[in-house]
Formats: sequence, C-alpha cells, structure tokens
Amino acid sequence: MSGNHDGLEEEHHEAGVDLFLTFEVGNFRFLGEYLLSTEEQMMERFQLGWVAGDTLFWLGRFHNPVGYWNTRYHHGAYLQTGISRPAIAKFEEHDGILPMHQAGLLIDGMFGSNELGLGYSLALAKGPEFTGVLEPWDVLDPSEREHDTSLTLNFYREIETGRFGVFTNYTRIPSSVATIDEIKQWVLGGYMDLEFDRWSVHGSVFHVENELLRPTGPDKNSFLNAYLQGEYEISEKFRLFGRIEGTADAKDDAYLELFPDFVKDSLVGGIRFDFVRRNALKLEFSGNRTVHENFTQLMLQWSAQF
Amino acid sequence: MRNLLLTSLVALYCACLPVDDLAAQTTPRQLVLVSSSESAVTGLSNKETRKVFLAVPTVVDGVRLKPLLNESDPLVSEVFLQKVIFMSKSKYERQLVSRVFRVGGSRPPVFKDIAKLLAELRASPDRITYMWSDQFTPTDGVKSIGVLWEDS
Repeated sequence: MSGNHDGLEEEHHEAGVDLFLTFEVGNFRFLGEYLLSTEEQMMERFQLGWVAGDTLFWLGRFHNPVGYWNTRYHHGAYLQTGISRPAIAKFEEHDGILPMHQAGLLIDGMFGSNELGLGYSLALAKGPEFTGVLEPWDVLDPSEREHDTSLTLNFYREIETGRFGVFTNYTRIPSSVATIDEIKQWVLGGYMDLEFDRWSVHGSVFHVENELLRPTGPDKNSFLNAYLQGEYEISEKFRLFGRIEGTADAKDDAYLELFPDFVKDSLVGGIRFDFVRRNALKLEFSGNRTVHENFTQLMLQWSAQF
Repeated sequence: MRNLLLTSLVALYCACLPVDDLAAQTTPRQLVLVSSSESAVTGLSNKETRKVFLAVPTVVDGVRLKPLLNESDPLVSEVFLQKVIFMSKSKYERQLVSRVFRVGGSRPPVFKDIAKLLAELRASPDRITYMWSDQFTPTDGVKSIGVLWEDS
C-alpha cells in the first residue's frame, strides 16, 4: 500500500492471516476468528451458539450487526471484492468511529414464515471504551477496560436479488481520556445489497448522534454518512468496482474531532482478478479527505481462502 | 369394446418401450427436490429451498433441513443455480463462504457420485437434494417432495 499525504510519499506493507474455526455438534455451534498480522494479533470473534429452530443464540464476542458490511465480510479480505472497507464500517483499531465488536448476547432469527422473510439480529452487549481510539472487550484480557451497554437491532428483508434492511444502535462509551467522562452514541440507518446478473450494488446510510459528557458540560453533535459501491463482473475472473463515500454535517463535529484519521469523503476504484480458485489479486486507487487533510492511496492485495 | 381394445394396445406399446424412451415421450425433463422416503417433509416452496441451500437454518414440518449439493451432472447443478438460487457458481460459493463466516456451521457437502448421494439421503431423513426426476426410482428409498423446474 502506498499513499500521498499532502505531498509526502508513504509506504506501508502488511501481511496477515485470519484464522477461522467453526464446528457444529447437534444444536451447538462454535465460531472463532483470530487475526494474526504484522500489525496486530487479536481474538476477533469467540462465539458459543445454540440453534433453536430458525433462530441462532450466540454468547461471546461478535461483530456488531450495525449496518451490513460488518457482518457480511468480517475480517475476511478475500470475501469483499475490494481492498478497503467504507470508513464508517472500519474496525476500531483502523480509525473506526463506531463499535464494530460487541460482547454479550446476539440473537439471529427470522419472523414467521420459512420463506426468505423478515430477518433480525438483536445484540444485547457490552461496547467499547474510548482511550483515544475505541477499544472493544478483549476475550483474552476481559478485565482490562471499562465497558458499558451496547444495543443493536437490525431488521432485514431478503429477496431473490439480495437484501435490504434498517438498523439502530445505542452505545454508552466510557472514556479514559481526561477531557471526556462518557460518550452516548445513537446510530440509525438503512442499507441495501443487490445483485443483478453481472452487476451488484451495496449501499448504506448512517445517521450518527453523539453526546460527549465532559467535566465542563455536554457536547451534542450529529452527522450523516453514506456510501455506495457498485461492482461489475467482466468475467468469472475479473471484477471492476467503485465506491463513493460522503459525510454531511461533519464540520466542527466534536466526536469526529476525536478521530482525525477518519475518512469523511472518498472516491474508490479498482479491479479484482481471481487468478486461480479461491485466490484473488486486487488493485485499488482512492482519493480521500479526512477532517484535516486530503490524500490519495494506491493499494495492492493478494488474498486467499484455504 | 373398441375403446377397451385401443387402450389395451396403447398400454401394450408403452410396456414394450424402454423406460428412458417412454419418459422422453410422455414427460418433460423435471428438476425435483428429493429426500429420504422416511422423511416427514412433504414439500417446500422454491423460496424455502433457496433458503435451505443458502445454509440458513430452516425448519420444515418439524425437521431442520440439511442440504446436499448434487454435482453428479454439470447440467443439474447449472439449472439448480440458475432457476432456484439465481446465482452463478462463483457467486453461490462466495455467498456460502460469507454465510458460514457469519454464522458458523458448515457448507453443504458436495456429491459427484449419484449412488453416494442417494445413500446419504437414505441414511438421514433431514437431508435434501435436487436431481433430475429420472435419476432415481422409488426403490432407491428416496422420494420427490416437489418440482423445482420443468423443461417446457
């Protein structure tokens, strides 16, 4: 990966393996995901599940079902067509501004019929702590941080060509930063994920409201973020993709000021080459704008699934 | 008396035809959903079938269904993906991987040998698969629980 920050050339290389283990015995399920990279090592998911009819009950650390990107692609670089995630769906350790991991109870189910009907995900969990970045609950060191309530509800409708849905999340984020006691965050949004022949479209809108409780008094702001990604399958081996991301009402937003590397606006384009089965090469170029600077980025990635 | 004679002649002619020829002349090719003859499941809609084969936990008639992929014939697989799943093979594979990555469990097992597929179906009443209607007979211990697609 290379980038250009206000004229400064930077290069960054990262190698990683996402270890995934799942098994099922009767109605019991286990799911674990451990990310091992040159930048970080983390137990990303650790879930104990029970299947009751059409419904899945999970206990443990899981991906927050806020929006769709987070629970569709997880940490699997191979699974997503492009290299980067939309900024609003970035993980906490990569300048993410929303809780992408939670720990507690997750219920995945579907109302009523056995058709592809109205599905839901409900998370009753603990969210992250703010330490300068958001720090989710760590399975391997559970008492390290302070964590408070995080609730998510996601309703979706699956249709023959994809899925669309709405979601909401409320999180109380304790802070270890001296100037902030706590952050109360509400997220409301909708998404669609549609596929038509060789085309596919993924889009989402997030309304994010934050109340920063400071020793000097509360500070309340809100902003709107949206992204739209289009993909075109040239052949079984080649896919083109492009994404536009934007943030409105972000000027002087007190919460976003805490995340100076958050990309507010971005234009992304690239190509994916599945050169052999379950191996992909991707090239991606983007123009980005954060709270304080503009930069361009060129990324090259090899990903595989074994 | 004349009708009886005609009916008897047609019946005699049909009885003398090879089974394959008879099927080809009297019925269009059908892609059917198949389960063990011991299964309590009596039928599924195409939408329910799609859900089961996308590895979504699905209970029908009190049975949590487990899908088996039939790749014994390239055409059966192609027709199933196009007419029921509405995806190309590569998209379907990506969808399954994504689903398993999300909710755990396992991807549906693939069978390239029809005899092994039928044996697996017979062994477990909660398994279902798809095949051409002429790929099995009632004596195989399996039954059709619905027509997914018909060559018109």
